[in-house]
Amino acid sequence: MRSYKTLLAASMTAALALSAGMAVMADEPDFTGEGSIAYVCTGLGDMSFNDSGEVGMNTLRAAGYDVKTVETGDDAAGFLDTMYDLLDTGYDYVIASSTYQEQVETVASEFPDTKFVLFDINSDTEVAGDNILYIYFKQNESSYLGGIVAAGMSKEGAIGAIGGVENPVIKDFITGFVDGAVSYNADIKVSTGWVGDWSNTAKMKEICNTQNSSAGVDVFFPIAGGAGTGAFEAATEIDGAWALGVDSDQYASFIDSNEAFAKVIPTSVTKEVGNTMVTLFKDPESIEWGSLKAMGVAEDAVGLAENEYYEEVVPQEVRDAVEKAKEDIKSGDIVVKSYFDGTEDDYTALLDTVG
Amino acid sequence: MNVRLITSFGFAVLRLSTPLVFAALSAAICEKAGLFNMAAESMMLWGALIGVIVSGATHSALIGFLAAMAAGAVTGMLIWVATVKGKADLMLAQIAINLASSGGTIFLLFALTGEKSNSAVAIKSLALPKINIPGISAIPVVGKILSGQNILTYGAVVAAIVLSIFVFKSKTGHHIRAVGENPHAAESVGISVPKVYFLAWTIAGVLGGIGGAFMSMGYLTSFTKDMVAGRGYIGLCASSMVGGSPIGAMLCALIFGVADAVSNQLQLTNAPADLVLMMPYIVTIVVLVLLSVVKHGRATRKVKAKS
Repeated sequence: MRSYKTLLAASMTAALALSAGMAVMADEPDFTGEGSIAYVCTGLGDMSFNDSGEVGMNTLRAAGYDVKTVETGDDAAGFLDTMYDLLDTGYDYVIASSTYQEQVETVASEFPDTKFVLFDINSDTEVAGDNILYIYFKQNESSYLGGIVAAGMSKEGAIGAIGGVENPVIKDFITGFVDGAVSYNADIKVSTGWVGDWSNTAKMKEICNTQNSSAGVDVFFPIAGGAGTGAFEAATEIDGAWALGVDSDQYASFIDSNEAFAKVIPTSVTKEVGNTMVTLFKDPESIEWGSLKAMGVAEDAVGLAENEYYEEVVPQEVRDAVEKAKEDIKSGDIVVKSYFDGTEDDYTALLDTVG
Repeated sequence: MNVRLITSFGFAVLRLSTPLVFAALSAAICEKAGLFNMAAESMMLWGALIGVIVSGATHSALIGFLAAMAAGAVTGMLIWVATVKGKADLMLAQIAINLASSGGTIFLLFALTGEKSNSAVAIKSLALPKINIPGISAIPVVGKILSGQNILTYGAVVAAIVLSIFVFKSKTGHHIRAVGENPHAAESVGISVPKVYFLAWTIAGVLGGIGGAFMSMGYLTSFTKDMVAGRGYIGLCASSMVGGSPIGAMLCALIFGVADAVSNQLQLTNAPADLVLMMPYIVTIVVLVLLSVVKHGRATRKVKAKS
């Protein structure tokens, strides 16, 4: 029994040591802040959305904020209790994604002294509390840029977007992706697919294979959290195929450990959750609580990962087209199509034009 | 449909069916022993994780594969210890182990690498080889479907045949089936029921472990959180449909493989995604109902003939 306990203790110590060692490096902040922040997410290690937020939290920690990261797991039944537990401890700010929208809106009125940031919500959300800031990421804009790269990299003139679970945010991704691809190549064909969850990597790979064998798709855009790895797997096995990363710079995530994966990722369509939070909390006084803030390419909240590999493998003319599109989006010359601006029928019609 | 589509569809069916066949065989050996194996899911998950970790550490796909088998076997033995030695309820023990495995695999991955959802960023693991069968690969269409699959796809067929011979022809196989029919009667003629259960759970575990190894070392080349994604349960269904016959279970698993491939193909059409994703499960229910109607009809006819 004793040896068992020793083993357990040793493994837990190892886990702690490792997790400390693995902590994401934070940028040296050029500001200071005070107050306590709770960052609520389902779990770190997703290599995309939640981790991106954590990078920002580390910067805020370095700036002097007292930040606690809370990982709730996926069980929605416990979310509300977690919120109450947190608020009973007393935090100045709570940062959470749209996953927790219902719970935040429930507790916000009971805790008027706490300020809440809800990010990644739908653009048509009604503001339901004057101590909540809603942030809508214009993922259609970054996907537009991703669509240009995909269309520019495809030899077959066929690309694919594969989502995790069908929801408005993912459909907004796809809308922008199609819009951007068509802007670069009017004859582009876009296939779509759905995994049905965020973890079935094998299903993702299978859908990519099917899109390739049946529709000639050679550039994949997985928008499915952890299941996205399946698209990288598929791309490594198909000659000349590529897959875009999503949310974080996934080339950077894989280059040190799994070069084969990294080498099929020309760029990633990023959602800078962390940067956005850092920008906000640089000057918390200026936050307009009780409002909805749309953040896109112009605010550097979404974009493309333009790393050295992007420079290396994406042809100059494609990169020029991306640069031009960025300028035009910032200046307002291009208004990227959004799922939230149209109806479900508009979305289906858009897909039909590239089917 | 052109030839290329038929080939890639057929190829996909075999690839998709492979993990289902191992899960089905894992359930089948238990079913023959009168046990209900809901834990193929866990056996596969542990097999998938341990295979990746060990192949990464030893730089040997073979050692990783053996470790995956062992991991599955240990999972099976744990169920035996809990239910036979510990007298825990079989269903509850398996539900517990399934829930614990989902989190437990991630805990182990995190403890070893600091990663929580995907081993690919931390472990350079190896994959099992694909096999080109000389001769067969030259046959048009069929050759392209049958040749070039992962070694475990062929292994699945071999496993089904071996398991079938073991269950129906060997002395131990007879003992297993005797216990499955009536444990008390079997005990009265000197067969040790706990021993038979131990054997059944261990074999089931090994088969589940191989299924897991296919997931993370063949189908994919890394471990991801909850990657088995219900395939263990589909296998259980396949086995139940045919009363635990290994060959039958393999064929049923193949039906699910077809349903899965069709659902992937339908994604390219405008069919509603939710409906398409339900395909494999709808097929499960329809086949189960059809089989039970047929069985029921046969039984009623027998009774009528006797009376």
